[in-house]
Formats: sequence, C-alpha cells, structure tokens
Amino acid sequence: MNFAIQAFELNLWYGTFHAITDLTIDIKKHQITSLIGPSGCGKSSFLKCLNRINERGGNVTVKGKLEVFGQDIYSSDISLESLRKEVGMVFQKPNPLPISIYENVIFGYKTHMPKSTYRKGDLDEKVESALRTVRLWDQLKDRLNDNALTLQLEMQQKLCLARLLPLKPKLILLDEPCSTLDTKGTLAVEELLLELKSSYSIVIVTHSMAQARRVSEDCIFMYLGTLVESGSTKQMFTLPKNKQTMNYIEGIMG
Amino acid sequence: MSSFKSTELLKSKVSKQKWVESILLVTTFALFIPVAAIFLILLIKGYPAINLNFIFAGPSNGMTEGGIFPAIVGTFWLIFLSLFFTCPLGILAALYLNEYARDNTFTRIINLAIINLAGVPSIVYSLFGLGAFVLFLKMGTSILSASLTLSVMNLPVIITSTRESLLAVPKSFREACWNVGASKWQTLWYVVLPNSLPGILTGVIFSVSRAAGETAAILFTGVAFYLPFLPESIFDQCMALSMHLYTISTQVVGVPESYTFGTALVLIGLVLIVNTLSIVVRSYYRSHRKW
Repeated sequence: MNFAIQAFELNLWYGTFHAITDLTIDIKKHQITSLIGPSGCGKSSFLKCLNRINERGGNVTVKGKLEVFGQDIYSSDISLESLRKEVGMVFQKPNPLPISIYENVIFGYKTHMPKSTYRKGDLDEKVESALRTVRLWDQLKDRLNDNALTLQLEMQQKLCLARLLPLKPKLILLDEPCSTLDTKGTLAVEELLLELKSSYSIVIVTHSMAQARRVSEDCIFMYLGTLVESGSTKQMFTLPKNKQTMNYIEGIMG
Repeated sequence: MSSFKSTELLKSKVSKQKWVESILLVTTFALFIPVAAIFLILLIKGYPAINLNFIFAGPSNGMTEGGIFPAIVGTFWLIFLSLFFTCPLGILAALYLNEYARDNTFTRIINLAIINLAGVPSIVYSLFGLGAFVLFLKMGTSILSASLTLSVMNLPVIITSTRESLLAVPKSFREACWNVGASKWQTLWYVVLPNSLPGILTGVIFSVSRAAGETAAILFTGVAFYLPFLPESIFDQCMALSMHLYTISTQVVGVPESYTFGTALVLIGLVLIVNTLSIVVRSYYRSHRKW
C-alpha cells in the first residue's frame, strides 16, 4: 500500500450546493502533495473531508469512498477522535489556544490520555521534541509559560504544527498555511515541511503557484469541484496536459 | 486646483461630525444623572438611619422603630437559594442548546419559550409560583417556594447571557480542539468554558440584582410582611428587604423617612457586596484573557 489517501467518486454537498463532484484520486505516502485551483474549487472542502472536520458545520453530505491509509473513514465504526489524532490539520489563520505555549503543544496529547497515565517528565520531553522539530525550542524554551497568542504569526503557525506532533499523526493537512505569513515566514515553514515529509505524509492547499512548485512532488489541480489534472509537479508546471491547467498556472485564469 | 483646502462639503461633514458627537455625549451623561442622583439621595436621606442597631435588630413598635435584620437575612436566603437553582440549570441548558442541540423544530420551540419567559411580568411568576410550588407541590409559602419562583424568573437571563458568551468564543478555538481529536466535552471544558466565564458571570450578577430587588414574584410565595423570628430552614417564611421597603413606605403609618431610605440604601449596598464577588472573579478572568 503506497497511498496515503484514496478517493473514489467522492461527492460533497453543503446543503444543496455541490462542492465536490466525482473526485477520484490517489495520494502517495511520505511526500508533499499540493492542491491548487481558484477559490471555491473544492480543494479546501476536500482537505477538510480527510479528517471530517467539516461536519461540525452541519448540513454536509458526503457520498463515495474515501480511504486514508486503507481505512474507509466514512464507515460507521470510525471514531472521529481517533481519526483526527492520526490526521492533523493546520489552518489558514494560526489558531493557537489562549493558553500557555507548553499547554498548547501538549493539549492534544493530553486529550487522548487518561489523566493518571501521564507523567510530568514524559510531557516535558514531548513538548521539547515537538518544539525542536519545528525549530522553536531555542527561541521559546525560556518562555514556555507565556500565552501562545503573544507570539508572532510565524511562530504561532509553527506552534500549530508542533501541537500535532506529540499525537504522532500519519497525515498532516495544511490549508493555505502561509497565506498570513511574510516571505521569510513562508520560507521557514516550507523548509520545515520538507524536513517533515520523511516521517509524515503531507497535503497542502495553496494559492501560490511558486509554493506548490517549491515544496510538492505531486500536484492536483481542481476547478469547480472537479479534478482537472493531477501528476508530478514538475510535469504539470512544464507540460500540463490540460488547457485549463495551463491557463491557471500561467495566470490567465483564476 | 489646490486639493488640500477645505470645501463647503468638507465643512458640513465636520459640523455634522461635531453634532453627532455632542448628541452621543449628552445621552451618555443623561444616563449617568439618574444613577448618581439615586445614590446621592439614598445616601443623604438614608445615612442618618444606618447604625448597628438598624442593621442587627428586628423591627419593633409596629415597624416604626428598631432595625431590618430579619429582612437582610431573608434577602440573603432568597438570593443564594435562587442562584443555587438557576445557575446550574441555566448554564447547563445553555451549554446543551449551543453546543449539542441540532437546529430543529424542538430547539426552536425551546428558544421561543426562553424569549417569552423573559418577557413575562414578575407578578405572573408569583401567581405561577403560588399555583405550582406553594399549592400543587405543597411546599407552602416558604423560602423554598419563593426561591424557586425567583429561579424560574431568572432562568432566561442566565440562559441568554450564557449562550451569548459561548457564542463569543472564536470558532477557531473549537476547530483547534476538534482538530487534535478532542471530544465535544473536552473542547467545552478546557477551552470554551474558561473563556466564556466572564460573560456567564455577567448573567449571574444580573440575576443577583433581580433576585434581591424583586417584590412581586415573592409576594404570594414566601415572604411575610413581618416576622418576629428569623427563618430556621428553607421551609420557613422570611422577610425580604424589597418587600419590607414596600411595606414601610406604603402600608405602615409613622415610619421615619430615614428608615425607608436607610432600608433602600442597605438593599443596594447588599446587592453591590454580593456582586463584588462575581465582579472580582470576572475581572480576574478578563485580565487573563488575551484575545
């Protein structure tokens, strides 16, 4: 099994609005896959299906098959809590919780453990390792008790990534993670993603063609809720098979 | 054309702006005047009556002398017992309605009921309390019946303020929680509730004032004009400051004016004291909030 995600004829409606139509796609493990397309094309909706976070809004209907690491995530015996533990998401706007940096990193881990089983030393270790991975440890080790909302945006976004790590997710979803960051912050996050891809499978939604080109091995182009083209990023950006893809990449459309 | 000079249009904009500002200022000031006036009048007229005897003795000589101790005690009973019923009920109901309930006909009916409950005059609550608690449930006219009546009256206040403060917690916090696989309850307990506590306490503060000041709702349900002894349990009747104020200002002849105003002053002071507790807690949480 080489695929992290396999979607087969996936359809999604918000109320009566048909947001995704017959999406069939395989996404490989241990690499970065980018989802591109103009606003409203269904790429974020697809991303949010992968850990079923879109259901909280209510009024969402999903049909078709969606497998994550070989498991049908819409089958009735799936627990949303354990699915989201394995499939973490970083949102467009950094959303750290209004608690300390330390508590932010360990929050998710704690929610999955009975209180009696975690020990202080163990938690400290997990926080340090997560913050080291996202390269915040050196800057933040002396202010772990500060409120996470006092950090600058770039650090907040890295922190949002760090808090997924103690849960040992297999798949990390990023929904335009760099759209609120400046160039320096964007490059720092991208560098981080390139480092993480050996241990995790990553899917990133982005509006930046340059970013898709820099970070992803494979690329998926969606338009009006349907898949237009998918394949290796290199091929798509040099020799797109589809006219729409070419127009979008060259900035004529979208 | 020199573009940095003032034109007729700009001048009218500026003068309109000044008008709006002064109207807003006058309205704000007009709100402040009655509040200040009430406090001043109560202080000036009521202060001479306030002494230890007034606070700690019972009324004597046909309520024209002595103090108001039984009424103070009774008001405390009513405030705390009604909070004891309203707070858990109201807060839990609001949690359910906001976080768990689906938007269907049933919840819409409940919402409608809550809005209507808030608009019912307090004398109607009193009759309801008389029928439901005093007679049907055979609690008699007692502190318990009166408190339950007050709680029913305060329920919509607590529910509404709790719901509003739950709504004010940004959706991104919830998403952040769900996204690491936290359950609904964990999200509520660790993130939503701590951040909505100040708003919930605002509702509690408001209910305290309503419970303390309410006269009509307790009229038939548990408050006596005059009692020579203090209540010993929640099944006794009690006196209450609001009721006592009504009695001595309209029903009894020969009460010194300072007594009436003194009673009112104590009533307001008591509400302030009880509220201070919630205000301290609220400002503590607000100062720790960073969003």
